[in-house]
Amino acid sequence: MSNAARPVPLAMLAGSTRPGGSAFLRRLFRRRIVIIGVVLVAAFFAISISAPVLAPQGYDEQELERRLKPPSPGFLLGTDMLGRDVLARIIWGARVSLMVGFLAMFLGLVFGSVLGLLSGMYAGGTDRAIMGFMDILLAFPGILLALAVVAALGPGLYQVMIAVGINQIPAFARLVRGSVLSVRKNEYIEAARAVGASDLRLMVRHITPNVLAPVIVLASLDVGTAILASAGLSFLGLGAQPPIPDWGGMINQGRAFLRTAWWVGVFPGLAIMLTVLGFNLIGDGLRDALDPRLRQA
Amino acid sequence: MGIPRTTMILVLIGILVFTGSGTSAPARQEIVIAGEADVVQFDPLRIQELPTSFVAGMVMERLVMRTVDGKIVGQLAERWKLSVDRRTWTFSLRQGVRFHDGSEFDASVVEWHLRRVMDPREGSVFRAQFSDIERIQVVDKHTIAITLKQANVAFLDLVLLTNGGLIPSRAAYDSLGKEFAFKPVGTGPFRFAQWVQGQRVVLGRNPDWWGGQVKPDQLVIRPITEVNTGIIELETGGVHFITRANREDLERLSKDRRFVVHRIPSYRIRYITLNTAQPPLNDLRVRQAVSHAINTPQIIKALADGMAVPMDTILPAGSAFNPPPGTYTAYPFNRTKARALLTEAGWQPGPGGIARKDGQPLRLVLHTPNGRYFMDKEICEAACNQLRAAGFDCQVSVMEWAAFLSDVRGGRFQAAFNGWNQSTDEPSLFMDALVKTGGRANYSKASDPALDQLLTEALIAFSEGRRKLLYNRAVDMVNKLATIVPINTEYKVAITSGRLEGYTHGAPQTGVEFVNAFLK
Repeated sequence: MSNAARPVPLAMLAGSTRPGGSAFLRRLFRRRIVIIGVVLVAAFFAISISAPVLAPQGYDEQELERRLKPPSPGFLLGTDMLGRDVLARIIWGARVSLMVGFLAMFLGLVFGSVLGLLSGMYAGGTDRAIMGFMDILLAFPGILLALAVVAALGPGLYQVMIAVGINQIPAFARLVRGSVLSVRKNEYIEAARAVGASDLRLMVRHITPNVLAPVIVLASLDVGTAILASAGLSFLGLGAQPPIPDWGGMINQGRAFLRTAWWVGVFPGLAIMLTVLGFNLIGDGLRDALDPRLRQA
Repeated sequence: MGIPRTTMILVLIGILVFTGSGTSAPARQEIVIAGEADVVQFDPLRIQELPTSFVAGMVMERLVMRTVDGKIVGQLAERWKLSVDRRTWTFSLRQGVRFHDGSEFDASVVEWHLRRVMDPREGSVFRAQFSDIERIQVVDKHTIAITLKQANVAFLDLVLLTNGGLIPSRAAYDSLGKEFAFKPVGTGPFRFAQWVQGQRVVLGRNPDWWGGQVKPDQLVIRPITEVNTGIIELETGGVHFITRANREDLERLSKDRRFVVHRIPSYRIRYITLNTAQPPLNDLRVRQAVSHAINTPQIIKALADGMAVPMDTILPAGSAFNPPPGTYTAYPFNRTKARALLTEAGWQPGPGGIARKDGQPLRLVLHTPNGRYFMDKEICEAACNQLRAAGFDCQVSVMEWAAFLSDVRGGRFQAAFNGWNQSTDEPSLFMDALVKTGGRANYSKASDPALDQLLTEALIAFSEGRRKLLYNRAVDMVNKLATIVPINTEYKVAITSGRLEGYTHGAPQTGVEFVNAFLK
């Protein structure tokens, strides 16, 4: 788990950062690899939404007699140590992983952005206090911070979301603060202030829309990071409690059978890899599409 | 410019010769053992778990011990006799024995230790058992007499063979202060050398051991809680001895000539405790439904075949004190009966097959540690799945060991997967602790005066036939209460490197298993 913000160029803030829809999409898909990312993410979304159709037996149908069966036409990805269908558990697990990834990112995004906005707007004591707190959070190794949060709140899915979400806050706060500091120097901000716009109005109407681009990029990259981080915590046994399938937990269970039943751990690992890859490709594409320097090029 | 090649070769040969590569000093005998968990502390008064008692039993000794074939023989006592009224045990102690710190072992140390176990200020977990002692008398320097409040046929097992029976050095207690619990000093074949928390415990050979020569120079016990990691370490030579493997790996290693699999039925039972103080398990019919809903033989065959056998009483499978099959209350897997019992208790089938009463689903949380006992979490997952099929809204709560123990001991649980390890099938060791009112591991909080009376009577029944009869009845009474769901009796398994010879494998933990062990 890394707290370091991804390199989101602040140059995105120069000039208009709200490109027209079709032009933006053209730029986004100019790199073919982004399409792969979109396909991967869309596929996992589709899988998670249609889990009741794709795996109607649920994630917990147990048949001990058929335990650790290798992939076969009946069980495409084999069965685990309790005779449960690994494919069905990966499909249902997609819901858990995507939900944790998005909600953790959302938590980091909301709290981080608000803190960054306040910090950028109000120099002096407020800025120092908020950024000091963010520095403290950043000083903790990510996994240690998350472990401390889960230790305090107890193991479970929501606790993992909170732990990972807290871990994401400083990256958003720093990014938004930097963006705000850059945007607030612009003449249209001074003009708005001159005609009597309140701080709240300035933040909501004039600053936020103009700092959104890098935040969107970071958010898309952070979903992957959050999925990976939550899988790490689940691997340590701090995530979803059995029998809820969660990819990290499934890898942990499969670890005991790596040499005798590799499919139990390898396929959930592949699922994590493909999902995170999908989000990273989209994030990279968004960064390129929203970067005015690349746009001009 | 340079050194001539011939000179360089001669210098190198000289270095090799003088550094002793040609001399064949015997290789240092260091045996590395995979412990199932890290040790906790070594004050015998508070040793309650297997990993610590395994190590402590090699450093400290008791008055008596069990051999690998289960016989009780003298350890620090050479012999003993029981008075005619069967209340006074007189032990003649081994002479010339010294603790690792050089202090002398004699009757005064034994007296000090016994009084310490009985002292309420010391917080001994074995105080209840030792409180059966009425009087301790040092007859002479090497003789001690222990008089009981009443005759107790299982005195040696219930008192002296517990971890509380391990005798530490009094000089160490007086000089080490708080460190006493972390630097054990005993009379055993191995001396404590080092404990790096979470990494290793190192024991060195005791060259002055009264029992003769100790072969290994050093034992290193590394806590490896994860089963698969232990197997990989064994296969790559990182450890020479492991005690656990999942079913598939056990089969594989049994066929591999590089390893030796030792396996013997043991007295380590695993069971689910049902807390009678918590609804809905305060209702006997619900507890019976739980027992009928779990297909124990199927679960154990699937998950622990070769490592454990299923059981259906509170005593280890195969114990001579178990009643003959068909003569006692049992709960064979029967989902229909489980559902019928729930209906009888007022829990009607509801949406998703979950039973409901007064609009509330039949919730059941099954607490389990992860990796403490063989396949604990997986067994609970399988059991919970079967409970759901019978109408329980069952959830497994996987807990860190310390938190698990705290919740179970504090009664903050509905159902919990527990274990109890003994070196013999002496029934009082199981029943008095697990089901007697106030028993030190009676976590179900059940209390049955008739059962208590029966168990007390069994302790003074010196006829083997009478004891069997009483315990047969007690087993049946315990099953009728349905406060525990017996799951399995683990085999005592050791998988050793083919290089390790001289290790003795038996059901009891003797403390001398590695005395003659060496690496080929």
